Amino acid sequence: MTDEALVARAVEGDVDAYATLAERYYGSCARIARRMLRNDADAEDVVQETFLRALRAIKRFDRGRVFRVWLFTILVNQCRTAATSRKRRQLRFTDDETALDRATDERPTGVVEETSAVAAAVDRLDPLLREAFLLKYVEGLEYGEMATITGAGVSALKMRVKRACDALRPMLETIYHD
Amino acid sequence: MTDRDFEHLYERAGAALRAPASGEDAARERMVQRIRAEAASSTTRRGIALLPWWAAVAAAAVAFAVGLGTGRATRPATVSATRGASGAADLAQRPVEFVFVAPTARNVSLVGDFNGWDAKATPMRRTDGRTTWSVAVPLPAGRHVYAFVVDGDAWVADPQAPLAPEQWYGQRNSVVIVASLGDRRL
Amino acid sequence: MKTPILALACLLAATVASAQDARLRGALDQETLAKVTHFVDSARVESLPVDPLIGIALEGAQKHAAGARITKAVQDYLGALRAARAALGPDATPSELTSGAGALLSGVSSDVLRQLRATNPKRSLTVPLVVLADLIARGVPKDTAARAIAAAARANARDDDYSALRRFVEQDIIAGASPAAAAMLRVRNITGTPPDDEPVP
Repeated sequence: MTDEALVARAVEGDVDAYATLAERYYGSCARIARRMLRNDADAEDVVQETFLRALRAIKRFDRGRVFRVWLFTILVNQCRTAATSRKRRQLRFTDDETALDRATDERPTGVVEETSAVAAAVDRLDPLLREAFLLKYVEGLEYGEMATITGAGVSALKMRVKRACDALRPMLETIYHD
Repeated sequence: MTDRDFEHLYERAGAALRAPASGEDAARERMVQRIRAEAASSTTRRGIALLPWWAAVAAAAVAFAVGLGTGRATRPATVSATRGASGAADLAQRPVEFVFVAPTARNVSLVGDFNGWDAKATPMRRTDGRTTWSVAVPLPAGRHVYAFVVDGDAWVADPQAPLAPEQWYGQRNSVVIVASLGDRRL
Repeated sequence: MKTPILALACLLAATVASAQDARLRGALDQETLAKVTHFVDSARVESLPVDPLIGIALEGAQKHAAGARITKAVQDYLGALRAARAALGPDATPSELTSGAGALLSGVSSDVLRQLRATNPKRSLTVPLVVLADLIARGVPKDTAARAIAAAARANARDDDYSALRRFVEQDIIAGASPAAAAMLRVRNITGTPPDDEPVP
């Protein structure tokens, strides 16, 4: 079933339809949040909060809009707020918790190594550059959609993506050197 | 490398980051459970849709009244103490009513910094034709943080109240302010 | 005549403190209890609100948080309370301190609190600070939120005005507006003009 059909049902109060939408986009939201917050526990909290907020607002959703873009707008705002809040609280569980996740990872070793290396490279980017890179190259969004989600102009976003790519290039060349 | 090669590099990195993380399935399942719990207690979906319009407006108005500002006192407060030598806050308490629309919930309780966040301490009662839950709690003047617990395990912020900025343990809570009787600034 | 009243007040305070300690004892492991009690006692000595600190510890206990996380949360909040007192002044009420601590934890600088106090020295800042933190929690950039609240304060906004601002910004965000634009637009309902001449980011 298409997003539009599910949204139409969710707007009418169909929780199953909304849950299906949420399951469909959970992965995308989770990977954006993980890279923006660099902490899996915080990312899960933020993603849950995002879907709950969207659920509370779904009845007022304008069906002329694209659900995914609307959802990512909420998510990006939540990530920014959480990052600011966590920085202020000076809670530093990132290293311990991420290390634990990697220690219990059940995926094939090659996948883990590549993903971890790329993630580490992306994590080093300035937050706004990282955000732009994730939306463009991980989620495959158009610049117009990214502008709606981030509140930045298309020109600014193109510059951020370019700067992100320039910064990542040497690290990615090392990772993917054959 | 050409520009096209570099573009391929970035796309490859993007693909790597699209790989599902370990534990993601369990996290997705937890989220779905939260969604279903929230839907069972939400004020913006079936609950309101099933209420007559005047009851929905009344429920929202009551919820707002306790969400921000002075809370709603159901009877006059009783002054029980004055300022101590240590400068402790005014201990006078006044009842504040908390209201939550959750027509399909089996039970709802109020938790907050005033009852040790104990989900068993302050159960709420069904009112208004069994769609709304409410309880009146005596609170001292000041800022209080609270949430609702639906069916024993889903912690939900009050959709009508300001959000508490502090998020120590993952979930958001809500804020209620109870005006002080003697606050010269109000 | 004053001595018996003073003694009674001290006894009452001691009784309340003892009850609070009992709640913590029943909820925390020994190591966490010792650390949290240290912070609570420090707050008590400094005449800072202790109930919120105890509340944070009990919330963590109910949510089965690790002792280290509970201790860090209490410590961080105590730090925020101290910073709020430094910014709002020694006469700040307990609810102003807790609301101020919340605003600081949202990322707002102490200067914002100082400026609010200077703008409205005789008016309670509890509600403005709660609304400030709420706006930030909903995604309004902290600088934009601070400017909006400061503008409302300069316009002598009442608690109802701040409450309405919060509600309208929330609704606008849900409807799809950017949080920053929603805050800048809605504060005009109070001030009649934008917060300042800078363009909205």
